[in-house]
Amino acid sequence: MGIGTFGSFTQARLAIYAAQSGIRVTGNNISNINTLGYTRQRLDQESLYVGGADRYSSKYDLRIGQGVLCPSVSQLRDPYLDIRYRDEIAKVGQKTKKLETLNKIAMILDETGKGVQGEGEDFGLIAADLAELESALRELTTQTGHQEWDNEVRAAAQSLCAKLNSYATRLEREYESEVKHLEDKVSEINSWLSNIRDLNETIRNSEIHGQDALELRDERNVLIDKLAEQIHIDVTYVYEDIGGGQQVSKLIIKLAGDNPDSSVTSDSAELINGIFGSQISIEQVPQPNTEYDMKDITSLPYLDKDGNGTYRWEDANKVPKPNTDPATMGTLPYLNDKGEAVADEADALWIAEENPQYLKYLKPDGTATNDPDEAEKVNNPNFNIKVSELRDCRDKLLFYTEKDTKKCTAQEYKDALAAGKLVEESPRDPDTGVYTITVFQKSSKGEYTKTVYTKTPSKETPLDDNDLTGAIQASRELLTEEGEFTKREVILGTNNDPNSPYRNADETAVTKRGIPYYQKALDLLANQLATAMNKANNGFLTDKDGNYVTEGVDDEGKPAGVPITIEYGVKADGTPVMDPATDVVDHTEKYTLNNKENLDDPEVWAKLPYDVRLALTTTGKTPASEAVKEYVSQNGGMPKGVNLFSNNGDSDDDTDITASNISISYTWAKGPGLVNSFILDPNKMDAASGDSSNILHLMGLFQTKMNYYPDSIPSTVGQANHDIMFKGTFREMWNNVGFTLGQDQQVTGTLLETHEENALQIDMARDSVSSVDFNDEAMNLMMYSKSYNAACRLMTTIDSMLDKLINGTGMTT
Amino acid sequence: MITRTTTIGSLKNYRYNLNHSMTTMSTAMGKITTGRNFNSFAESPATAAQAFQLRHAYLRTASQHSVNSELVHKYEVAWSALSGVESDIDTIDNSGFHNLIRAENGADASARNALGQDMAAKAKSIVQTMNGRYGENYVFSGADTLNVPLTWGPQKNPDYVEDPKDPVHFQYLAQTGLGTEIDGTWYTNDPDEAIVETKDNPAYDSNNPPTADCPQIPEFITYPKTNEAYNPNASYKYVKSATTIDGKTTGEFTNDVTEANQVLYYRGVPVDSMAESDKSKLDYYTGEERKYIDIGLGYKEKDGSVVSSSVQNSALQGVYYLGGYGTKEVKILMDPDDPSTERTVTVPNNIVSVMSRLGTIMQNCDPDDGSFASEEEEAEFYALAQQYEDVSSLVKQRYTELDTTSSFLKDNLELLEDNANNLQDQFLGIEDVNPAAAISDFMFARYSYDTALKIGNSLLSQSLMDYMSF
Repeated sequence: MGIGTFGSFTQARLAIYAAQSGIRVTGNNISNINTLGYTRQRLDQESLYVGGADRYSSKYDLRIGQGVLCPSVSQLRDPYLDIRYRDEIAKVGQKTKKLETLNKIAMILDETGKGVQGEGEDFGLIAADLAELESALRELTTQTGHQEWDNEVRAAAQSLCAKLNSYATRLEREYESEVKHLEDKVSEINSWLSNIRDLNETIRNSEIHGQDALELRDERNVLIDKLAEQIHIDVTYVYEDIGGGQQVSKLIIKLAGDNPDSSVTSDSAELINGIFGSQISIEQVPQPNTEYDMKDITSLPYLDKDGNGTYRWEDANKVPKPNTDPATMGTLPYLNDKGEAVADEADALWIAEENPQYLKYLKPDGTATNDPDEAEKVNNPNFNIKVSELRDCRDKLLFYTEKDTKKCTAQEYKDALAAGKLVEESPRDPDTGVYTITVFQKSSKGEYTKTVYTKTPSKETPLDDNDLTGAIQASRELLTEEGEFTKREVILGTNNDPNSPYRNADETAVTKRGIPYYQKALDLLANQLATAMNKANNGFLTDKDGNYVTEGVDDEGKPAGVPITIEYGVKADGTPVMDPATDVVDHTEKYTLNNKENLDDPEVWAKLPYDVRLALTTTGKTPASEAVKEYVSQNGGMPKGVNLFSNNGDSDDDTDITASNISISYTWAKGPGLVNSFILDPNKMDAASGDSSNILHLMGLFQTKMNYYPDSIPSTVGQANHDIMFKGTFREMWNNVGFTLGQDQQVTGTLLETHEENALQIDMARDSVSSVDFNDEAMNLMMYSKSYNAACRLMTTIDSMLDKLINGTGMTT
Repeated sequence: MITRTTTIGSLKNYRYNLNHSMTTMSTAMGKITTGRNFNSFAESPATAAQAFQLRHAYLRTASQHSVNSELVHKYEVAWSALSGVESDIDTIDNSGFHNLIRAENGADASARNALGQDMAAKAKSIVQTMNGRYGENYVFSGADTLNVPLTWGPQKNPDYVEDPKDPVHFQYLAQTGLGTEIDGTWYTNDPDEAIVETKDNPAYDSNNPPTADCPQIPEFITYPKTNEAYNPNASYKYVKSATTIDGKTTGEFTNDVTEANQVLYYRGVPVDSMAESDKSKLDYYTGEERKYIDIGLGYKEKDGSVVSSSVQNSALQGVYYLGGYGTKEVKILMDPDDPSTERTVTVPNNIVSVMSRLGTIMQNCDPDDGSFASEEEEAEFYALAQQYEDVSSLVKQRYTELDTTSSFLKDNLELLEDNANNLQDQFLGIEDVNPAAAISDFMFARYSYDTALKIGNSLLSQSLMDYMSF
């Protein structure tokens, strides 16, 4: 079949249309070259061919296409590059956030190049204060007894305390700022999720109406990229049957399944399912009651040995941790420090005895309660994130549908028909919300089927500690990770304790360090310094041989120190009685208590006569060195010294000292506080005026390598591992804080650079497919311009031909 | 297929690289302006940690240098004081030794009073010298630096017994029921109350009966039973002047403190005391008391005690540098040719006590002929003269000891100074930039950055669009 007379005009017209459309698409590409997320578009053209095989066709018919059609405009995008980009950008987001916050921490703690101008330049601040305190003590050894030199030491200590307080405060501010950042980010992510969900709906509607909604897809891609920076996601597109044989694409966004623990499934929770979207939130928990009041038993979480309430873990009575698993608790009644059930008390983890009267929570009005529903809600201390159920923009809950079709008998069909239950919906399960719809059908071929549609509602998913990757996870880790200070329950997990924020074990937690790690490291330094200095500055007077003495008189009747002794039984052969059950006492000897013998050494302790061990054990104090002090105290020993550091400047209270509260004690602030020496001058009831043995010891503490235990600060006592996290001097410990931070920054920075480089390469690969290029568009301009010209020329040619045909054919003169 | 390079892709890549180039230039600029190789732990954690360690070591060394310097000054004061003491006791002219030689010489005997006065004054002068201070601290008071070390005080009677109901106060053993009962035994000072004892009368001769001119000599003598423990000196608190020869102390005693002989005390303990309690105190001061100072010898503690070799003891015990304390027994032949005239005289070990006692004895001499007040004092004089030589030699020896320590401290001071300089060199070597390298790095970074800018400029302007013409 040939073309109609004016068919050629149509052909030319379509060519003009195509060229015009091409110019418009090119124009759109050029216009959007700087539009974020814009994907270059291409005009889809196809050759128009009308008609099929004619009923009466002739083999001599010539079939020519009838021009060009432009059915659509498409985007040029590579979905695999999108996946790779989003994988990489999540890592970039995580490292960027981490490095950004580490840099802020470094602005507080990194003292490289800092220090007052002049002599102290570049010596650091706390580092210089530690050196100054040591130096002042050293100077005091030559100027012992002179108030002004004592004041020098106090001034150095005061400066150190002020800096520790300041650093702790700034870290606390950084922590609060990070909390706010996380809360804001959660809110921002929720708005993106809502936008994506709403865009999905709009795109879906457009698709139903035959539109591609390319710009909306671009907008959605931008949001997905942003989301991917915060949370590592898995983006898939599936086709959704919307009936009538029509399908539209459906976007599904899930978490990327990053949890290394294969038993965890929450790491692939759905965030977007087509027109349904979820929201994320930080879990809220009841506000714990920390308003400790020693007069109010309901405010104290533990019981001590006497059954009195206490808020301090150290003072609490320790009991073996009970095994609450009904399957094993009969034979293995306790749990050890690894969470394993054990039979023997000795193998168990000893925990503080809980006070049954303790009211655990605080209401918004500040009063205590045990009802978690009444309590004020605060952020979970682990900042656990949860993903809500999925809802559409009209708040309709998503139900996942499972279809199960089976053949049924004609009778079953007829019964259902008779009962008017060809379509029947079951009531919803009150616990799970699941319901079913049963449909009986008869096909045109006479087959009977029964189809059951199971409708399962989408549910809230609490996420595990390691489910996320991305900037959000970096924020969480910066807020929660405590490195070596990590609580045992975090490392081991508390699956059997639904009230704990730590659902699953995180064995690698000790290697992750966030703001709390640096806060606690600073606390540990302050606490160790205060404890060591206070301990060294408190004691009992001894004679020159180190024997603890009580006040007595010498041979001349002058006041003198008399050694404090414990009587012990001796056997007939002259050896001390080591076991009263088998030995016979012949007479008694005296054991002199002194500060030279290290009774904490089990070998030394075991060699003590039985009576001595008994007398010391009876004091109820441990270790043995503390028992000796208690015995000396009870038997006329002469105490000397004061606490140098306290937890506030108004008292000498040395409990729970941290970097934020460390202060010069009230007594030291008022006047001389340093004990020069505990050794009595034999000619008077006091130390020699210039004896500086204790000052030297105090100074020596700054040169002594000490063990730092993560469970020795108030916030971790009894909860963190008792492993040595560092051994060194105070200055080395401080240096180690900077070194650890610097190393973390360096490693994070290097990784960030790598991920950034990768992301850039992938993004450029994406751009090579999707972004606009001036050269390309210039070519298109020329191409469509030429096409347009040619189409116009075609039109003119046809016009000329028709003119000849109409006006010039058959004309005779 | 060849990768398609697009305008946007190129710009993104350019932006990233330009930023990199800018950062590199900024880092290079930072190094030049701060003069430091690194300005944070993050730039080089290990190097920064090492630099801080070296800086702390530098501060510690500087502090040790400071206390060492203090100590050097203290030892200089001590050295100067002992130099004065040495001069007082042992130079040819106008020294104690000079006085002693003159006093020993019979020809100058008449001048013994005056020499004695000078000797006593020198003893006092030595005490004043030894009580000198460095700053606010007494140099020679061991660890008791706030209290004056050497003082003069009354010489206590070592035999004094305060309790009046002590047997030493009673001359006789009394008859039961008479006198004073002490632990079941009766004592008295009244001979009439004493137990009467008899003994053979050596004058009695049974072969010579009494005559009118010569009455009967009794066969036995009766006498009150003496108390062996009786010590007539025990009731006196102080000694006025006494000599101990052959273990017996004789002389004058008193209960009036103002009359008592003034003797040397060290930190409240009588230096010449023979009492065990005093000796043990002085043993502690001179042998065990320490005032350790950290002068960079590697301070170390072991089992809660300082390792002595890791510190310097700065407690200078005045009594030690003056020859010591306690007493010594010196054998003297009163007649050089007669061994039976040998006497054992107890003399003090301390040079000040020796000089003081010599002064007293010389002043007790007859002002006219210079003869000694008693045979005991004469014996004591020669014993003291012998002791003077021994102790002055000891004082010199200890002066040398102090000089040695002083030299060590000066050497250590120099060592610390060298250490501090080395440490400073080390941390500056780590921290400070090499200016030539830093500047060339910066120049290269700036060149790269400038080039990057030029690339950007051409990249932004050039495309096919620019060559199109319709």
